[in-house]
Amino acid sequence: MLRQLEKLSLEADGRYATAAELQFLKNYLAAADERISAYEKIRDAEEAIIEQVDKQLRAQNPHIFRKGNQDYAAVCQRDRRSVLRLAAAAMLFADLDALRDGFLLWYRTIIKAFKDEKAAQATYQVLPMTVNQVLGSEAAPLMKPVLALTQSILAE
Amino acid sequence: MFRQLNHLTVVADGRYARAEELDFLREYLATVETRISTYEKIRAEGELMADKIQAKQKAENPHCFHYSQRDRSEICRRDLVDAIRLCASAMLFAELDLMRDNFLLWYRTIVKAFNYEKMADSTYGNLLPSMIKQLLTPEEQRVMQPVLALSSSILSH
Repeated sequence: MLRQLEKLSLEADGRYATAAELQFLKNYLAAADERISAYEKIRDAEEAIIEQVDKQLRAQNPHIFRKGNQDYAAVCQRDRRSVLRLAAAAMLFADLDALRDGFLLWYRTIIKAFKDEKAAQATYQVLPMTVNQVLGSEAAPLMKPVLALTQSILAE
Repeated sequence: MFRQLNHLTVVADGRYARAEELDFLREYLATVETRISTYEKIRAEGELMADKIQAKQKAENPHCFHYSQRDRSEICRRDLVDAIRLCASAMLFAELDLMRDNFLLWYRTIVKAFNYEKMADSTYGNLLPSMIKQLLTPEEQRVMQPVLALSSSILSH
């Protein structure tokens, strides 16, 4: 949204914006209130979502975050928090490209470097379901594209 | 709005944005429809407004666009058409700072260099605001008023 908005403002410097160009602003506007309230719901339910995901993952496999003799649950939880927060921001600003280019593709290299693919796969399959439960049927569709993108890049 | 929005995206990268940080977005969004309809009205009428403003000025003084022994109506009209468009754009994006820094302050130096102050005063201090007032509903006037006041404060003295 931001990129489109900045592009539009540059265009509108030299000539008037056309009806079609203004349409995306109208489209964003139409869902903006819901985006903000979905963002706030996620913000306020962050703890609950993170814990819920943790619980479900451990139920699937109690040693999911174990490598050798070390338990990396805390590190994974910190990363999961970041993913959730960045996904929520991408939804708020309707800017999935920035999330992919600025975070997800980089984070995938980290997951691969540490051979965390299995844990990532489990995590980003469970996360969308948990977010859905928290958001309810009205706001959940807004997060769906972002979480699908996250899943497709981090849990392939 | 862009500066605030950019700031917000940076903030929201490192932590969740707080309620008060989201307020400006809410406030902007609450006025966007009015901003768009205002923009579309000005887009439709911009050139005509410029013509009307010049016609009034010429009616008062037929030689008002004579500078350096030539009639400069065309150049003045082009500038006015640009200025009206930039005003509309600044209103649409709620971006008065950029308008001031990138256009108005520069244009003021042009106005002064060409001794165009009296005409600028009549245009931006008087005719343009009253013409836009006629064009817009009271609600639309409210979103347009700040940018007109800014233009007038910088271009007319």
